[in-house]
Amino acid sequence: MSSIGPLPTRGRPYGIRFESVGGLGADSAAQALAAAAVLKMGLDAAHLRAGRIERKGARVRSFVQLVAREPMVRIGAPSPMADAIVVFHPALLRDCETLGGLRKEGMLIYNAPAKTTPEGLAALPATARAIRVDAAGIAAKEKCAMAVPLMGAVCAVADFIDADAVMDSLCADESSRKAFRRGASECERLADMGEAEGDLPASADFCGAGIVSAPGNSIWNDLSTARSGFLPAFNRERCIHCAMCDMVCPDLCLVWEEGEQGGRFQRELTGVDYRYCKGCLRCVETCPASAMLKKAETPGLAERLSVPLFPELLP
Amino acid sequence: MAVALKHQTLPPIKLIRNVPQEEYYVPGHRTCAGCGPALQYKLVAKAAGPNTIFLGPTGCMYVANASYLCTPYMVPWMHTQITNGGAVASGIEAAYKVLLRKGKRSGEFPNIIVMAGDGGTVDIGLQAMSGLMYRDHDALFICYDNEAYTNTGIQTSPTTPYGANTTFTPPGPMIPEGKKLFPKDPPQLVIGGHPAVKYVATASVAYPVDLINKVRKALNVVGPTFMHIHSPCPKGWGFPEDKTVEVARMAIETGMWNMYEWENGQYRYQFKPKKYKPVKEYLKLQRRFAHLTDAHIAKLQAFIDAKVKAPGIPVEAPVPTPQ
Repeated sequence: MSSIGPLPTRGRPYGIRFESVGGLGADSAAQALAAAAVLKMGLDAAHLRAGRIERKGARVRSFVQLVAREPMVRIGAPSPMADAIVVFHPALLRDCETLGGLRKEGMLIYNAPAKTTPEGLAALPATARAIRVDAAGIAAKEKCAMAVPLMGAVCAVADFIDADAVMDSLCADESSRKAFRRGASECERLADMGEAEGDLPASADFCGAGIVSAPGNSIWNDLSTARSGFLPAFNRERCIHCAMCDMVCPDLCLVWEEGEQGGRFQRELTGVDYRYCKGCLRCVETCPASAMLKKAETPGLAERLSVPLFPELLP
Repeated sequence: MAVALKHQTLPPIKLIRNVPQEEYYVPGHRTCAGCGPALQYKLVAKAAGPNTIFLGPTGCMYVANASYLCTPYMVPWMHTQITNGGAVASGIEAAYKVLLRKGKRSGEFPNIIVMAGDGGTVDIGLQAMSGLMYRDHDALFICYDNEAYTNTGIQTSPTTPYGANTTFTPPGPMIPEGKKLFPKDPPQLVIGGHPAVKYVATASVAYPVDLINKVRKALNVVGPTFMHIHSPCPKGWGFPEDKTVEVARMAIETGMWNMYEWENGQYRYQFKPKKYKPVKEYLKLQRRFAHLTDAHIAKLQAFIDAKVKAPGIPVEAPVPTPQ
């Protein structure tokens, strides 16, 4: 085990923010980190959570602040600034609020498959570090929460965190320990991603509550972030337009058009609007013709495949 | 004076290709991936058509659908308290009747549908639901049953099955089975004590065409009608999101859920398997039953065996004495 360095921020708390959606284990991971810091690493820590709905796919924001025991610092609210931001879903990077308040010497740890560059990284401060780890791939292979490999990467990069203590606090079984170690060893440090000068401004809505940005009908909502790594890819050649998928899809994301005049089909399925697809993959399970296939989501894939459901309403 | 009564006849649907194309429950709602209740909402809205008013007592289908001032309903919808879904529906129905009688409103009498969860039907909302059924209002009361208070973090409700692990019934050394009580039976509650009720049915998201037809049949009836719809919850029950329909189907194949219609005192059964599968096959799909031992499963199996002998007849459930 490598030696544990001191906190890089003397006097003020070191803030780590977890940007995620419900169901990926972000909040539990943040709690495990704070517990390990207090019980094993001789630090004081606070774990705070922005209140949002308890629901899979709903936006989750969790804050951990680490601080030395001497002098004592009181923490009563989450800080709008962050020294490290952990992003669980590449699509979250499109939201400019995700990176809000990142300090110029800070770091971003994000989940994305190898050889892909999610959009939004250019908004990073030029001096900040970016670390990529394929947490979704590792988590699917080792059958654990996506938070485990991401936490492994965090501990590998931050030399003042005792990785073994966090692993003991977070991982209950051997497979998740393996995922944690893989996250630590397989993370990739990327240079020269950002272009911004200085600290990023804190977002107005950093606690995730209080501002309703788009009231009205729910079709204006973008639910891409609710998918946890996989999407149904539609193959029109194989489709028999039987509408079984439509009978099991709770999200109305399948796009139909009138069938050819005098053709075999009354209505034909043309594709999926991934703005609304939450990736439950029930259509894949139900399709009798294997026209829907489970596919790992890489940045930009959904935009390429998407067929708009309301082309006249939404750009 | 004659009251303009509903005289619509929504025709039954034979095949999936005859299902109406129009959607009145649009996407963008913030339910979990693979939500069972959202699927049944979509099918019910499709079946009911444009001349409909939905009432949403508090529950998943209100909170997740209508969060942050966005709603996915393309027909009039109103939030009611979890206690008073039935009472608000009664008021709306009475108001429409009066407006039509006085000639202050033209057009057809609307379909009034209360979309209540299990808590809003047989627990917190029981008195209002019962009042609607008792006073002979022309409305359809739907109980979408996800067998727990899932909106607030999976607490037990009266329809949570025996042995389920919820945040209010966690299994432990003192109570190894988790939930000790056997569930309430909402359709029997309605049939048994409400002489005005004309039509009661149970349905499941596993059989969408059957569900749509039962909704249409219930809406054609003049008078109070009740439907109990099985809607598996991936988050609350602990199964993968893509298995919602499989879990719903397995519930019917093991006898955990019975599909029937009750019309004017007569029962008709649908999708009754020739031979029921052991209930263990249903339990092993879900994490909420993972802690059950063979003795608990045998107790549940005995209850199911008695129930499936004659669905519709109350079964004596082993009720533990309060301590």
